[in-house]
Amino acid sequence: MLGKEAPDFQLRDQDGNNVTLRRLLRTGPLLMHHYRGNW
Amino acid sequence: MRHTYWEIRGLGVEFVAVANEEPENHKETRERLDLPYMLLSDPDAEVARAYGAFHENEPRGRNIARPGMFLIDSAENGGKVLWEYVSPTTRHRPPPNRIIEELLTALGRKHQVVSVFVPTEAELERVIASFQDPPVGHYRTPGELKPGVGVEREFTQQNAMAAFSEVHRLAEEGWTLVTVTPEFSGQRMTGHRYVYQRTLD
Repeated sequence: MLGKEAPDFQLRDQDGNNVTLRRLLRTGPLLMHHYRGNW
Repeated sequence: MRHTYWEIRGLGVEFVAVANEEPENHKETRERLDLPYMLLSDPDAEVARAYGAFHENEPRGRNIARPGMFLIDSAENGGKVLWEYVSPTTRHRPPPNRIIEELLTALGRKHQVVSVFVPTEAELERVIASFQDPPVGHYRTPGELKPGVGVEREFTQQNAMAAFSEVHRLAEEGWTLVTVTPEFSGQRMTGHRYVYQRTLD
């Protein structure tokens, strides 16, 4: 994955709004943290 | 990640967290913990899979996302992955200091940073205002510092002469040097990390 173009995605935020990676990257770099949820 | 969030934002980097949870659960978590960042819902872990942050054979028989971090460059710069970390287990993740260091390295700013540690977020504005010459790095409010203890500031300096003048300037401003630690890249010493403390007025 390093050095490659990050795969785009569309996910819902906490309010149910659709968010795409491309839109998040419009304002600058992004740190995305995957975690395992609250189970 | 909460305190580290402000450091990340201070570096001009946006931060989002992604988990295999429904938006309603994220909304509840975000409000309960007063999280300042966006929580994205990846209910089938499709995105975690696409990024390789997924544990296919979790020992307890349930497939779950591994903790993973991806620094992605802006769309303007091609949206490439600049740094990644995927935990070898379902639990481990790098400590916040390491994350910040990795980001600084990936962004080419490793030797520019000056961090200011603030006892509480409530004091952040006052501390920011107390600096005539604002730090080039970021402000931080770690849980391990008790309110009223003081301000801690750390930076890494590669250039000996620049370090010398910075040390003098900080001493004149009432900062106390706490530790100096050499930093290495493999066997090669790359610089020193200076940690200073100052009591808040």
